[in-house]
Amino acid sequence: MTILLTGYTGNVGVEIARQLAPNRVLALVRDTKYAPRLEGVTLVEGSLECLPAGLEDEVEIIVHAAASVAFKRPLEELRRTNVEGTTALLAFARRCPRLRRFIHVSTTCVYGDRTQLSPEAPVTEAPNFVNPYERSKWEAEQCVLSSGLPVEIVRLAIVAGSERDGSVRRSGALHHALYWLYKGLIPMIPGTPDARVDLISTEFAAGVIAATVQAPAQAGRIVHASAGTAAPRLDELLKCLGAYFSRHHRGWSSGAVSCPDVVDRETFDLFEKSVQQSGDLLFQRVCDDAQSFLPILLYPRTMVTSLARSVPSGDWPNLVHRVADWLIATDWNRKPLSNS
Amino acid sequence: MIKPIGLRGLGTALPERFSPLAELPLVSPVERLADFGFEGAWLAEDPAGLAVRAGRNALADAGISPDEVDVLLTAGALPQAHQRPSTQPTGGVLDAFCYSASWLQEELGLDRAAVCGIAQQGCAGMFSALRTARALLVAEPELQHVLCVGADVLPPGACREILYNVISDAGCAVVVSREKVRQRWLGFQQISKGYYWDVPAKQSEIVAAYFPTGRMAIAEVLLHLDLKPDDIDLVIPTGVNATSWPILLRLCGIPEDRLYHPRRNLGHTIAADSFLFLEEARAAGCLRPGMRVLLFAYGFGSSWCALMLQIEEEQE
Repeated sequence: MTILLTGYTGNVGVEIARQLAPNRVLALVRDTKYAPRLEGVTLVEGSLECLPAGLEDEVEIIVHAAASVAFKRPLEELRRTNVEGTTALLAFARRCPRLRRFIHVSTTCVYGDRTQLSPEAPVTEAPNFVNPYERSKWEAEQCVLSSGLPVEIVRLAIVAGSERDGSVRRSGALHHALYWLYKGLIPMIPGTPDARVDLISTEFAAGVIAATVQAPAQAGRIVHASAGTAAPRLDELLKCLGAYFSRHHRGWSSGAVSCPDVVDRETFDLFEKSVQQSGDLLFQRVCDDAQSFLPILLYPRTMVTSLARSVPSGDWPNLVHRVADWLIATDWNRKPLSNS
Repeated sequence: MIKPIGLRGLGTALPERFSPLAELPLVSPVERLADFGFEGAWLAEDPAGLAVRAGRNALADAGISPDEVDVLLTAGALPQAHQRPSTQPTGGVLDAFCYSASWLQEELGLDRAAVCGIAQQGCAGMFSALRTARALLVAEPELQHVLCVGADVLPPGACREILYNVISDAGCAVVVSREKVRQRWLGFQQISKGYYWDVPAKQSEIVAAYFPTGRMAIAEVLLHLDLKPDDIDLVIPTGVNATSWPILLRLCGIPEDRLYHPRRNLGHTIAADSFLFLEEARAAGCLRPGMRVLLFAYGFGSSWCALMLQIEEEQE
């Protein structure tokens, strides 16, 4: 099979390519000079705005993993990549005579503020969204599902990093929140202690996408790459992180820095308002970063999983420890990993 | 029957001069500090005068004479609060041994009192003084009255804003006794975290630690007393940023209507806030026998202190 993959340089892209490598993978990248090389992967220069001509006759499967994950950027800006980019790729797909499947990589956040059990089904009515990113991804799903093409959707939960070595290709909202948490600068988190934090590894996310590619085509299928009921509860996760940080940070080991309080929305809003009033630039940054990620915790849900259950995944404490190791060792991706 | 130890007399002292925000050296814009509930600051030249006035007021309120005081504890957040200029300075090291606590003993005529200074507790200095006073009364049955006095004045021309709080000068004093107490001592919890000793370097971390550790100190005092948050009848705030109190109360699960809303806007007077407001609440008739009252303060260092009192019947 010849697969066109977008989002190769993103957080999960290289791992997707690696797991799809038994196939012929054409990875769409803006600049081949800066993209990692992988055996079996052919780099193709282009972008969603400028798709390369001449590939149409070759492509049999499209895996669309490119997206802007700048959660709090203005909706119009996010739409350009996430909605208009998807629309452009769907138009490209229509010109591919051998196309069998179009697999769109989405997010479990398309459920917005809906809680409880979330099925592997279209979200037909727009929920309230926590941030513009969620809306843009929901709109992208609507474009995909109404395209008339043989589409399938894989919704990813929160991709923490590699369960193999903890590496994080691109720091996202989760990693920013972990940074402020480690520094002892998050006094409270909105949510409920028993809310599940749906963390998955890069390998698992890519594994579910690969499993979808390998499974018999089923137009309209939606697959959740989610830890489901194996995801940690917020209080478990904080306890695990606190214990881990205690081994690396004097403030945590002495008990001076403690796990943030888990609070309701109103209390967090009061805190945020107080920060805004103060004009404290550092805390405003903390709150801005926190706003990208933390409000998700106010809407706990358990994702229904089917295909994902056949994909092996490690346990979450191991994932958390490895990712935290990596983040601390690289100072949150600011410096190369020391060989020592 | 063991007589309850508690607070028998309160005394406070404010400077004569009040300056509105617009006239103060500050960091933040005036409008922002006004949003936090500040109107200005009380300014004094010298903490000694405030300490003397507060001490005399507390003795009068307690109805005891100076020679009945067994121990004098003076609390000061700033190093200069513990020094008194010599009347004949030599310019040498001896000048540094002129202590404000000893001067205060002399000035108030506390001739029988043993004297001790409480330092390095920031705005929680008076709480540490009260704790020490109570511990002395428990440990030494022959002691009857401990006078705690706290007074702080920022240096002339100093910036009046510390971590979004407008700082006033003031003095306060409390007589801790084993007889005729007005507020019985129920419990106390202090959490100290030396990790935050470097205040300029750790300002943001301190702000972040304020709420969870404050919540912890209050939770621990309640746990120790086998009380629930709802059992608190009144919370006496300090003069720090008014927006912080509803947040702290919510974190602790204390109903917001339990927060005492001061009639006067004093700014944050370092050690004296809680006692200025406790005195005000008493004068306003807000303290009724049987009520459980929580006082909470944070002091650089850092220490978080929670003190639970119970209002007693007034005794002749």
